[in-house]
Amino acid sequence: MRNLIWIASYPKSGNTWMRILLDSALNKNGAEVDINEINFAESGFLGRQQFDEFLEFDSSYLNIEETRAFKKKYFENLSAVSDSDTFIKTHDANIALSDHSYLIPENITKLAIYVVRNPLDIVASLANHNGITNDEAIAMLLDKGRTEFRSPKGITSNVDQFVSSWGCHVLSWLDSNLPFFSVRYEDMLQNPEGTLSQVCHLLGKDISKETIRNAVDNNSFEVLKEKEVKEGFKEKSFSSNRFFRRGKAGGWKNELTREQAEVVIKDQKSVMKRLGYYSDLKSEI
Amino acid sequence: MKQFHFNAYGLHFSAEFAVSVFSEIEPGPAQVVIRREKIRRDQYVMKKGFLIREMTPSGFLFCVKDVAAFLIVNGETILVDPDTQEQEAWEMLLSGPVMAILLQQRGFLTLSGSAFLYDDRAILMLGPSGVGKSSLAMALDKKGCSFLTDDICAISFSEEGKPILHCGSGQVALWQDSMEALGLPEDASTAARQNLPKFRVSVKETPAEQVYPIGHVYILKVGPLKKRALNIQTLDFLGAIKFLGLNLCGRNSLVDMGLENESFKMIHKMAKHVGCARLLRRESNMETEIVSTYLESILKS
Repeated sequence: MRNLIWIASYPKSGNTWMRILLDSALNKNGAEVDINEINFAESGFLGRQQFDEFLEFDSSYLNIEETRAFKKKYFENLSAVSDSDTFIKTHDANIALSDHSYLIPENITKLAIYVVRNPLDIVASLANHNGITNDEAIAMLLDKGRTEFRSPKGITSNVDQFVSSWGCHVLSWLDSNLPFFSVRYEDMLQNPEGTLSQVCHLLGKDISKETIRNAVDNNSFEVLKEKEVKEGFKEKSFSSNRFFRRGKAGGWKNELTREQAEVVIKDQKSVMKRLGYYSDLKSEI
Repeated sequence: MKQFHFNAYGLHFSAEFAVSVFSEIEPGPAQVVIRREKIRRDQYVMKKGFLIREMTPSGFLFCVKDVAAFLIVNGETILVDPDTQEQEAWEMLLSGPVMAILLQQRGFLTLSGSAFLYDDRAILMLGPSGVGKSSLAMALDKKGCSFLTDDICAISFSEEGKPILHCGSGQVALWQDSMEALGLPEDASTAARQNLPKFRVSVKETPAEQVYPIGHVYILKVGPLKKRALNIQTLDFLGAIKFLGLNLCGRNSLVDMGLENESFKMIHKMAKHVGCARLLRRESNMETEIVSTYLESILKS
């Protein structure tokens, strides 16, 4: 049964905001969402305890290939135990496994909603989130082997998440055979009601314009920022001051040097072109 | 055929093959026998696409696809039918969930954790993999609180109903970053598995018959902490029951074997006699020293 709906993105691309908007529109009649109780989408951050309980043995003895193969089984099980649509948030790239299948199971995927953002704007956001410099964030963005939650010498309390580089991550989803819909973060900013309405329609949900408008107004980026200041946000990383930072498009022009921007563009040009991010640049660089 | 003998959990094992998790001892009458044998399993349903866990007329069948099948019989015999040449891969199952099933059949309460000795009592540290139980146990061993056991805490009860820890092998499994943080040389260890930076360190020859009354239980969790490396929250009776239950080894196997109620009664007894606390720590192997020092000071106070 095709019942898995993915909210997928490279990190810092707007996944959380998308989930908040969907939670509000689909579950709360457009009301404000408690940012620390986003009851929308199974978390793709698979906790090690949760994974060990699923496996019924210690996952720390698995190598990377085995971890990915069992992670896929975990997703398949999520589908099997549910008789309704199951939303899953993930930052995983849709990578090929050793048996030539892909991490994201195609036969049980109803829809993959992929949120994409200009990689130049992701840099400063990544730097803030990880407490690193822009140069380090650029290296992270371009690292084809990037895996979160695994160190070369140990493990963490979350199961590995293979992210790869921004471009590889995007293509792994874009060029897959999954039923797919991509949402540009910049379009969410410019026309949040239109974007949210389109996503809800794709999900087969008939949501009124009023509910959409309320969902957007009650959960705008500014509202979320204020909430984080007042209440904190549990998904904020230890290294950063804030999770909801600027929420703007084009901020990279003030945050990156020309040289830094050129490094990103040179490496990610083909994917940026494909997504319409390159044509905007000619006058900027 | 040569037999290999080892001690664990107060039991004398004999096996047709060496098991790297356990250190060899002199031969003697075995209470548990481990041998290789073909195990038929195609008639059983595979759960979740990779697991067979089933009470059969011949014993309890535990099988992970493409790794190995095990038949555990009456707490006295373990049959092994490997599907891979990589012994380390199925040894991980043998010393983990399969051993827990055997111990459960023998009437032990089995909790996931490590333990060290303080003031002649076993202090247990429970929690999921990756939370730092083993590295903390080793850090405390270096401070003079002897390491007792890793992976499984096997517990029986005295006539007065007080919980007693039975130690496993004298080995601890540590990741490379933990070994570096603890200052342990890599050449004093063996790789737990090829191409994995996880190592087995022989800490001591723990006599299998040695048992320890349990003094306290700490249930470890990783979480965000800003100012301190550690936060401790004492659990009341019901909280202790809840969190001990969450750290049972092989809950599903217990249900399949009809032993769930027995385990619950043992948890109830344990919560009556032993103090339990949740211990929240930050995600960082670099803070093992800080956390172990703090824990030591709490024990002393």
